[in-house]
Amino acid sequence: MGKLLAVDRLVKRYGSRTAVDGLSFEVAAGEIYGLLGPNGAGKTTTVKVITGLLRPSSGTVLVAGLDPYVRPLEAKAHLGWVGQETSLYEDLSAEENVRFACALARVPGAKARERTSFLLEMIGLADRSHERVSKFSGGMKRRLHLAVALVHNPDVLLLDEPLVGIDPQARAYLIGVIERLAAEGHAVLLTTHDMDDAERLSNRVGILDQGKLLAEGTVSELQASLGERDVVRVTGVFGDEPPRLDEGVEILSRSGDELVVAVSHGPEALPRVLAAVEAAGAQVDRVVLERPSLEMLFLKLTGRELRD
Amino acid sequence: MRRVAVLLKLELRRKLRDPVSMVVWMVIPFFMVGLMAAVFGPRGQGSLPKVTMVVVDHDQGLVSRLLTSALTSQELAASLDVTIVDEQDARRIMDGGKASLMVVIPKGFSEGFFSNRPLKVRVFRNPQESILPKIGTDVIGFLTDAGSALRSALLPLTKGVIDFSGDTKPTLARVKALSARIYTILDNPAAGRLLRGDALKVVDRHPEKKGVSRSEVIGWFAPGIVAMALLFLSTGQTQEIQEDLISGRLARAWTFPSRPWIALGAKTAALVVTASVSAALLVLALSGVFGWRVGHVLLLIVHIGAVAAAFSGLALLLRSLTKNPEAGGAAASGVMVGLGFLGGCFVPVIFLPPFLRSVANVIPTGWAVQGFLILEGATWAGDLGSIWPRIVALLLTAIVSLAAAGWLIRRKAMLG
Repeated sequence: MGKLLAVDRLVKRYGSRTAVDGLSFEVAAGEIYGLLGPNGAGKTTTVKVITGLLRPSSGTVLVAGLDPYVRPLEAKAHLGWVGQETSLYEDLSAEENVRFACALARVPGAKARERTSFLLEMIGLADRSHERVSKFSGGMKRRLHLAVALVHNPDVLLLDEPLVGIDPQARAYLIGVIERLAAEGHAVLLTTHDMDDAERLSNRVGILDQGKLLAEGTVSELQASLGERDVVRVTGVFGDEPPRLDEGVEILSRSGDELVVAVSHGPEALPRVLAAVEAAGAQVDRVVLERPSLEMLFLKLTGRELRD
Repeated sequence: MRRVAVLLKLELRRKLRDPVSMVVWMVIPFFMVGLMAAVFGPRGQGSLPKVTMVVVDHDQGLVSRLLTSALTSQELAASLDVTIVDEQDARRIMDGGKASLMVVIPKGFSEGFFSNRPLKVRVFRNPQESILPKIGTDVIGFLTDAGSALRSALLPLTKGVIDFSGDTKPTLARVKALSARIYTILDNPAAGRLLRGDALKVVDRHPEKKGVSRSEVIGWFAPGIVAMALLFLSTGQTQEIQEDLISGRLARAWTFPSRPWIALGAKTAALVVTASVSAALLVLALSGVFGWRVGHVLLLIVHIGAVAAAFSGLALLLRSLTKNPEAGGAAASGVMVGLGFLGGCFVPVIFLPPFLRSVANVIPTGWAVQGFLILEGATWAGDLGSIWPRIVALLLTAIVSLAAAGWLIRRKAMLG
């Protein structure tokens, strides 16, 4: 598979603040790469640099082998962007919004008509193509937004939090469309702060925090990095003294009201963990046993949860 | 260019689908025309407020009384409200801001008149007002000028008959002598011409318009009204571009393989076209309803387009310096209304103080109004050819301001 998107040692600074710090990753044709990180991790900044909206402080970005700053028009011809906000013209119809994008993307007249019909059919809005967007639901707008980004049939798709704030039905529809686009050979960069989205859609995932790539690999590779271990989450009131846990039990995070540990063979180890916690003077309210997840990996790597 | 045409068509369609704001922008100028018609039209009162004047006559002589009589005459009563009081009362009235000006006729005024000495009438203006004191001063100036002219004509004829340096009480002998002189004066052909009323010849600047008072009145205000309409249209519509910036629509447009100016250019072009069409409709209304005549249609269209482009550019530049549409609207409206006032959009510049009048020559609103004045045939504003420097200046303003606004907007989109 050819690498359609290559980001190499990318740095983006705003004054003294470094939003993206030496980020490198590649996305191949037909691949969905999930860039997972909490809000403010640098995901959107990375996407804006790739689209050419932001100039990098250092490092390089290549879209289909083209640098967006050296040959912007050629590079953008390979690039489709769906931002976090549905930036559509509410007073135009669905069809007119797509035609508007066709004009911007230099899609000639006859081809634009053909492409518009195809895309509206693909996202399931063909029967409502003449309705004004202002009458659409959030999910319909998100689908239309995706269609707008596809007018020039770009090789690389940048989807910045595409599944945020939509109903389950629209979400399922969009996931289907994204998977179909990847199957057709598009390289998809998906940014998300939702672990489930990343796990569900991505072939490979990069975990980003404070502008740095902390880990990268397939979902199973990343889960394996936690070892064949389960996660025990204990909530309650904890004393100052840390619990004396068995060897092989790793504390992932500890605060005044929560302790998260990784442990092999969770069901068998659970009574020993609880005994150690209570022996340390804690008053336990609730215990949850979880399977390893990207959420746990993020917790292990940063000491914080994704939602923090 | 075909792409720009497609984008322009869709942008115009968007505007047409927002009929309320379109109607508002269209109605505002018509509303203002209606107000103007109500005030200055054939059924309106047709007059400025009266000039309130207090006169202090320290002289109490023949000529000073002639002057005060003239000021309180029936002919001037429509324009002047004159009260003759002593100086203490006059100062009290002025200090209370209840008069536009105070006129003080000094002692010895009449004697000085007949002795052919230079004369002075002191005028104190109310600093709170600008137009009315000026009108009052002009009236006083006109009367004193007329008095000086009359003195120049009469004094040689009355020489030896009246001696005002000593006792001025009339005697029968003096009255008889003066009567004889008056008959002589009336028999004198030069004096006769002076007194027949055609000594001051008024030449109408536009003889062909004589009698069309309504169009003359609208000719005074129409250039400002059209410029003002363009000002409101341009300033208001640029809000859409600022909203496109904030909503991310502009940023998204710039991720497509197009030159950055294409998307912004199409939006600005749509704005200029809408403003121009609205202004053209307003001109048609002014012509049809009020008889306003504009000489050269093609030049009018070019001028309207240049004005719309310049005003849109300036409004967009002001908005691009602000963070949100609310702040942008306040900044753009405030500055543009100020420029409109200085340029003569609201009040003809002749009513402004001299130093402000010169400002109109160097600002886009001034060029806009002057252009419309030239087109309506106000020769004092310049001949038809002199509109071109104004159009060029407006287009340069548009290019520079739109380029600066485009750069700022793109920078904001990148940082946002």
